[in-house]
Amino acid sequence: MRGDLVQGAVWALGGGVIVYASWTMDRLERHGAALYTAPGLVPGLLGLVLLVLGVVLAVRASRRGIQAERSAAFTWGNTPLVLVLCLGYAVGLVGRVPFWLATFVFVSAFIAVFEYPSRRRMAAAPLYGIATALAVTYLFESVFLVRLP
Amino acid sequence: MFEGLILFGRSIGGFLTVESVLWALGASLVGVVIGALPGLTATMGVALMTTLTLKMPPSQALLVLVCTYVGAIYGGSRSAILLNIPGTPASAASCLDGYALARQGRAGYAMGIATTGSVMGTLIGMFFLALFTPLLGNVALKFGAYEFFWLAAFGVVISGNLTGDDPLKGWMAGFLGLFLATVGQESVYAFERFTFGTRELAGGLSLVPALVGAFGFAELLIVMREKRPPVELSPVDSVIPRLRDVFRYWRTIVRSGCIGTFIGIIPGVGEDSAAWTSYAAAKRASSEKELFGKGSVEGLMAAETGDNACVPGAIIPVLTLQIPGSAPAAVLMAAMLIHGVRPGPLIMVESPQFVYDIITMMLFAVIGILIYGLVLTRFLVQVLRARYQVIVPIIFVLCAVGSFAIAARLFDVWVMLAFGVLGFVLRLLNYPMAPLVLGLVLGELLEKSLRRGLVLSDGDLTPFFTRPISAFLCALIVLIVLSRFIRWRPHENRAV
Repeated sequence: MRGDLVQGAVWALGGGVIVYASWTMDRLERHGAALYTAPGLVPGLLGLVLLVLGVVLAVRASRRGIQAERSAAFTWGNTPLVLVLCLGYAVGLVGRVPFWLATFVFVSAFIAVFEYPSRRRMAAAPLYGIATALAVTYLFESVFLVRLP
Repeated sequence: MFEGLILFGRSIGGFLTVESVLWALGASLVGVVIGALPGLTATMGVALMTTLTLKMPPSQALLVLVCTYVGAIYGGSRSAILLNIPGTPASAASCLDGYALARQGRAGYAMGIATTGSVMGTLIGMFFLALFTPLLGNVALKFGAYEFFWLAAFGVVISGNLTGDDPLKGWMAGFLGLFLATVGQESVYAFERFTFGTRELAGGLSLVPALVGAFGFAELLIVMREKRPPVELSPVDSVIPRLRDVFRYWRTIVRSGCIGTFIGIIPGVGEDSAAWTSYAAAKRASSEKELFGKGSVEGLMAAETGDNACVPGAIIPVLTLQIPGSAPAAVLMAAMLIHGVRPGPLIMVESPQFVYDIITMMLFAVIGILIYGLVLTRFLVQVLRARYQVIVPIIFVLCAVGSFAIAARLFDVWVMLAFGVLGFVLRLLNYPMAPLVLGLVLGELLEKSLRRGLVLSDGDLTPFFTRPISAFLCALIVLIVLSRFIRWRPHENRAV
């Protein structure tokens, strides 16, 4: 359970950082705040709980020792590609170019990339792109009366 | 009693308009389709629809969300029966006997049983919703800051305990959610915490974009991680449910309905636990135990009745205590708050009509799933052939636009992305999502109650442990945690 050991350490570290940040947070005593109304009280307590749970996870993992890993080996698969396309759309395109254009480019590119090598399906990608762009733009602007980015 | 019936009648009258009926049928269909597609869950459906219904009147918006919720839980049974893949986690128990029946050439019959069970389960849950909400509302009136603090903590602990494979990881996810809810200005001095000078974070993390990310974007990343093999569907026979099945298994239906509703009431546990518990109870009580797992009609009926009864059950604590009974109910509660509806202990005093409005919305959803279960079988079978390469980018566009639509801020789109990646990583590492969501939703209640309680007692912690309900909830939390710690002894092989 090496994975759990590392995760426990990360949680404990994160909890410790939260506790430290909460402890050093302004306690607003000049505004008459008591210790129990200080802004850092609740996040500090929650950080402490996360720290303790992280330690418990790590200790449990180390006690279980060389017990075989139950979970299957981790594989990224298509995730990096999906992430690049989605982040490219949401961070790179939305808000910088007209929404319909951003959506057309994203949907077309996504379908084309994942339908490769089927030429027939790749050729249909722009059709899905334009249909989605027009439908979503119309739906949000005219039916739901929402301003688009 | 008669007052309740009058209110119920008034609600039905109010919703019996062409517009409402069309919204209900449309939303139920969207829910069924989302539920039927493996990987897309009811929570995602409700979160996504929340962003689409922002500008609608509250009653219409909630009608859409309730119908989506009920439809999605029902829709999961389609893929469970035809593909042996649960459309939503709630339908996992239905795979066992549903798919076995499909392999025997009785897929249509199995879908008919699933429709019958879902309808009966929702109706039983609605009955208990009408019965328990006023009772629980009266009890909730006795709750003060101390009790609400423990209730919020109990919600996270029990949710972490019962969802997922590992309670420890469930608790971690829950407490992470509680911590993330503290980001932004706190309520007493408007002091900014963990904002790192970012102006957009001062108001805290927007709940709906966070939920859309954790359930929408994260689920898309999971779905797209690996290529799916081509779908092979079982042939479908007649889907018309037989009335004699209802009479034959009435005990199973009533038992599963009660179990499902009760599990729904427990904070953050949800429909999958309801289905499995109902299934296990049916198996224990059945005279045909040997058929379970090999195509038992009773087993399928129990699972489907249990998970759908859980939906109204999960809404009971939302209405009375502002504590969601499941992850989709947490999103529904967030939507209620966005639309200016404030559920809580005073609901039966201030707006009892609203409780019956919710029951009426469920009635509309039941009619929707009954119609789709009988009429749209061929269409729903085709839905299962849909290509994820096409669906995923379209859903992601809706996730992004929906997150933006809440406050017309691009920052909320980034919140959605961040929670999507966080949710994806946590899922891969075997952390359940329901406690995280519950923590996010309950964080404000927990902090407000703790600080208010401490102010009232001038810093004295005693009332947190001496008031009867507080002491009971505290003892319950300690017992749950200790029981799990005892199981972690290294000599035990059983995974917790």
